[in-house]
Amino acid sequence: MSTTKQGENVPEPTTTSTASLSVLAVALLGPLAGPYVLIVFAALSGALWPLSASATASRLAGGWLLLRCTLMAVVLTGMLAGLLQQYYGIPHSEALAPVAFFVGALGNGWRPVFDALASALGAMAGRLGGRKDGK
Amino acid sequence: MSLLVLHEALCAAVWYTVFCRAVRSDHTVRLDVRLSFIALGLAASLGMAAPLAWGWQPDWYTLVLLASITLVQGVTAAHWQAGVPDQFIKPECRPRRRRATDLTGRHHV
Repeated sequence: MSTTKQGENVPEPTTTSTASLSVLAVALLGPLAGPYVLIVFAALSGALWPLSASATASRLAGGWLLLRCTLMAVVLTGMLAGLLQQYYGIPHSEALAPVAFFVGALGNGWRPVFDALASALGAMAGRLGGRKDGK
Repeated sequence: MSLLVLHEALCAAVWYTVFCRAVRSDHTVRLDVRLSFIALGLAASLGMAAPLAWGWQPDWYTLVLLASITLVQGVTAAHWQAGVPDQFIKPECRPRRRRATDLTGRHHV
């Protein structure tokens, strides 16, 4: 703490290394650099789960799997976090990392999700069709 | 700045060692082993992201701890040369060996 002429205590300036790194990232990648960095790294660590479960031939194949999982997380995380905020009141910024980790950890397991969505849509369409027939 | 660069480099090194082990692993590896390495990978990833996302700054103790973990990972990497060590494989999936000196035969590229 240093003291001004009026005798007020003001905090010492902290090192600017992190600030400059953050500023550089924002300058290069835009204002969403922080959230996207978080999404990418959370998805990368989540994607280690499917990678460790599958028999991978080489590091290149493993890297390809990680890339696919991470890109999927980058595309879906913002939307899923928005839905969580809308329906469950979980703040968007706090949900980004867990959602990205989950999407990354899902890996190649999207087929059951899409199957479940398709069956849910089919059931909904059947119900709507039944109502129309019934009237 | 040098602390930060060192921190990022060490986190990247730890993450890479976890990645290499994950590439060699498959569903026959014990769940606790896989979860442990994923926890380590998660910590390394968050370590890389934290300075950018939250403005977090490393200190010397963190760096010493990270360097030690990197060293452990580097030294134990020798045991993964021929694939996943036998002790990390589920008992029901362990390959049978005729002699105690036989290798597991689980070679990966």
